[in-house]
Amino acid sequence: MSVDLIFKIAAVGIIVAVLNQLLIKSGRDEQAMLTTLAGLIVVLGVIVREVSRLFDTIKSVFGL
Amino acid sequence: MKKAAVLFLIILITTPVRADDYNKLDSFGITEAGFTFSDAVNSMTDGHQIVKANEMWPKIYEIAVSEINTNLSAVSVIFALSFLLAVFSTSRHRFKGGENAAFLSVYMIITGIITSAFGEISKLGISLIQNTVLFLNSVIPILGTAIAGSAGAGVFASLSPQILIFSSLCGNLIKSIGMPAVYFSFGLSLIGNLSPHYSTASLAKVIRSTALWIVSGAVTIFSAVVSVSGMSCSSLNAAALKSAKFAVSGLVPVLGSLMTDSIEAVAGGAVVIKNIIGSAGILFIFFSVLFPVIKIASVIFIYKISSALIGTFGDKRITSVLDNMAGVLSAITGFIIACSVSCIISLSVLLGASNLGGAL
Amino acid sequence: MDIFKIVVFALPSCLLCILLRQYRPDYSFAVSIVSGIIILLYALPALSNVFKSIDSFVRKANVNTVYIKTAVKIMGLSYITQFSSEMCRDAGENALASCIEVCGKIIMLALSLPIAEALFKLTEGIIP
Repeated sequence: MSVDLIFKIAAVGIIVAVLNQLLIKSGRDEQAMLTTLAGLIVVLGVIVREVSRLFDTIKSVFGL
Repeated sequence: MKKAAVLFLIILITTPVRADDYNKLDSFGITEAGFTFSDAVNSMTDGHQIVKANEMWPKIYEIAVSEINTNLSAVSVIFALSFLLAVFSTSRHRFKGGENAAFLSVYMIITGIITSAFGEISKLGISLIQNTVLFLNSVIPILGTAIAGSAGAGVFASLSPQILIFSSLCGNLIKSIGMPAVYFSFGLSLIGNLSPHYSTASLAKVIRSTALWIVSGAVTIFSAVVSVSGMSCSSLNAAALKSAKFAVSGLVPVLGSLMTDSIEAVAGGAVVIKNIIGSAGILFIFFSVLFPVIKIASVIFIYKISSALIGTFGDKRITSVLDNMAGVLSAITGFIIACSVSCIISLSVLLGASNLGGAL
Repeated sequence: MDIFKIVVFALPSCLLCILLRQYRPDYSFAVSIVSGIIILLYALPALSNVFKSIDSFVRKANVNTVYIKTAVKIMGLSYITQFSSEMCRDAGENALASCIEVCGKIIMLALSLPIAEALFKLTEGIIP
């Protein structure tokens, strides 16, 4: 079981949260927003990959 | 009395029991015990047993097991489907509609399997009942010729119309009330399980048991009536034979006493033949009904066991459908047994009433 | 004992979800989706053996395999619909969840129409 995937997402989330706080505190709001968006896109890519893997497995198991 | 004696002599001379008469009954086919009606008659005349009890038990076992195997694959499909349903429905019933949709599709397949099995068995039951009644209606005229040869014409004339009317009444009752009630109860039990909230299972059960009560009540009344009229007729026989003997010895000048003895011999022989034909008929009815009933009983057994097993993990509605199927099949078995028992009772009453009760 | 693996995997990911919820609730939702999918991916391949044996039963019982396949499809569909609608509810989107449910019900009903037709034809043949 790829436990590391979960930790990767969590790690990305924590890094993005920390960076966000830092950048907002130092006054660079647009860059804060950009990092947030970048983190979201990375995580979205992971989610979409996993979901497509799930659907492929379901198709092969159920014989659809 | 003289007229009765002359009539008796005429009948005696002109109506022998022809051997091809009961070969006609061979059209009723071979029972699964392996003998036709004429085989039974011949074996009784020869005196050897046509049906041995030791051979019957293995045969019964074999038929039951083969029927169980045939139905086991259908029931295992039902098992697998309800198991999958139990796996895929989670316990948090927030998705009521969708879970119901999945259940409905599985339920429809189960209904299809059960309905085809039920259709086969109900057709078998109807044809069996019709065959039994038809067989009885064909054996009675043949018995009639045999009975006439032993001076039982009066008994036969009074008893056989009752028997024929009542046996066809039995068959018609089952066909017109019993079978439609069984179909209705089966359909009701299938439809009533569609909704998870209320079920029509109890209504289906009531309809089924009412039909069974009506048919068994009719059979009981019929047997009582026939037995009573049989008992009241047996004395006619002895009186007719005695009067015939005295009339003959008085009428015929020279050979009177010789003819008296030969009348006794003929009457005795005719009684033996009549008994053989009658008991062959009873044996035939019994064995032609026994094996289909064993088949249906094994199917009922499978469905009851599977309903009990599925009840442990599956949906309650599937359990109640299988239960109702078993109940409906046992109602059909009850009809078959009632019809055949009434035919056997009527035959034996006829045989018993037309025995020479001590005239010889 | 594969269930231990699943439990050992699921509990920490729950913890991570709760942790992330205070700072970035969107990431906690992503973690819960992915962990749910990984658990399903772990258990599903075992189901294919079950389906193979059900196939062999069905062939012995002379039932048309199409009906069984459709029923299995409908069951899988109901589970996916349930899973995704609960995910949406977890994220707080109740309306979206009920939309998914309705859509799932419609598709399941449409899939089960051929079975209903076959059942009616069968019943017509039974009644004498």
